[in-house]
Amino acid sequence: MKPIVYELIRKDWELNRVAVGAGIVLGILAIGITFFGGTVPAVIGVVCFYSVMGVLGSILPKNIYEERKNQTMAFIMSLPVSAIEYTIAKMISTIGIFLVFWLTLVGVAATMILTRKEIPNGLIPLMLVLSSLILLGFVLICSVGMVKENESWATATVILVNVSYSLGWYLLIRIPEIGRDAFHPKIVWNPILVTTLGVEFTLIAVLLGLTVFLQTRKRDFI
Amino acid sequence: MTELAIRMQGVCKAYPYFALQQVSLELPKGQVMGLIGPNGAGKSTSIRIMMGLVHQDSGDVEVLGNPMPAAQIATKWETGFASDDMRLYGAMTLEWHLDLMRRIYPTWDEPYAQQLLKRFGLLAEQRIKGISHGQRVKASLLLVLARRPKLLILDEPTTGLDPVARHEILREITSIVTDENRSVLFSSHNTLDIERICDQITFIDRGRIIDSLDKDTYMDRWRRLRLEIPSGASVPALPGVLGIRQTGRIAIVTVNAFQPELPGAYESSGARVQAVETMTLEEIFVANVEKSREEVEA
Repeated sequence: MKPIVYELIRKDWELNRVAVGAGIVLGILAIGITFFGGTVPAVIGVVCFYSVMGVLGSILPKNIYEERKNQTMAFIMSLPVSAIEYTIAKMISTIGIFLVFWLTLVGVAATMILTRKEIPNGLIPLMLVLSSLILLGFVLICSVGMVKENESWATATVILVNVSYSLGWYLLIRIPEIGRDAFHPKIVWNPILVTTLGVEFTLIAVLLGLTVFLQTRKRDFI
Repeated sequence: MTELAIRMQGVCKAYPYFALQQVSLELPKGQVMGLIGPNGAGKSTSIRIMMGLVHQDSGDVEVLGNPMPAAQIATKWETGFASDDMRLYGAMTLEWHLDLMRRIYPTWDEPYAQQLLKRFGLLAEQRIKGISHGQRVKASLLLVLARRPKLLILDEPTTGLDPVARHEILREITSIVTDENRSVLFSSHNTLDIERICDQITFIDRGRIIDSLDKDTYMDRWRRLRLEIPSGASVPALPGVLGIRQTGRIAIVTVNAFQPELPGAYESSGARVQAVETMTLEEIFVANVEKSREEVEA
């Protein structure tokens, strides 16, 4: 990674330190609830953590489009950085912050499933498929924010993506091969589960590639 | 051959309601160029093209010998850019911004930065959102100047500043070009600022360069003649005359290519030359813009 890209990422993490700090504190509290024991605290803890992630998922894209709104874009683009390097730095910093929470959520959920006898291990593949949809949605919001550079577009995408999660999860669960082995005591993978996960991560990669491609075609950056 | 800091040749850029048309200008190294134009003339668009922030539709741009926008990174390492509409991060302190610059630029001159902090009356620990417009402009300039750039591009940096702040900033910019390898392009619609610090002057209006020359030649070329003419006579338009405004027996002749023989030529035609006056840059600017607009509309 070029030093200037690293510096831009570091800058974004420093600028978002309040959101990141608050998210970490609230996330830890939510995880703490799950360790009270019993199913009810576990469910409450996961719901709280998911809510923190949902709020962050709505706040963090501002990191992308507020640079233009706050007129700090000219300052950053006057540094020895190309539009592509700027795009890469922005996507890494924003998605990186979100990934910290996403990976924590997935890790905590997996740990809970694996360590509690009353929860079947077969839920892990389903949990991964459903969680990856959240990551895909966040990347979509970031891509639209980056390409359109516009708060209205980003806000509309945030709303659309948040509304679509329930529908997406519902449709995924209705695929027989995805929900079939959820209550199996062991983790069971089948080709449809693997393909669904593959499609989700391929879409994330396509969105990231498309964002960089569309940025290369832009002729005006301010 | 003179080494150039900036060269624009036949640059065009079209927007739905504005177009930059065949813009050509040259800034020799070690010089300060003033880019003067009314609001919406194309100053900022030209500057953004020089910085690679906007890509031209056609034409060639070279900054410090680098083709733009292709070599914008190499150019930006050696160029400092500040503009009136550029903002720093309001929630962060000036020290945070200084630290960012220190980490990015190996050429960062810390003693000079500390000197500028004192000279501009800035506090490093102050948050940007708590400082005045004048201090914000000074802070932006500090962040640019302490990099020791070979070229400084400033887009209306003195707009909205009080006279003291303007004076401080202009003095700092003037001191930069004591090093003959450093150049400055300074855009403004404040002709007084331009007149004070620039060696070269370029006028731009409605997306076109009207004129581009060194300041002394400019000031020497332009004159205003006050003539008293015989009743019933009219003032002949002699070579170099840009415009004639006549009220009764008094005529004001504006000349953009003044020759010492001109007053004599008017005397020979029967007029009495009451005065030959030099013009301020603002008067030259207004006369130039009016003439250019008349030509375009004709």
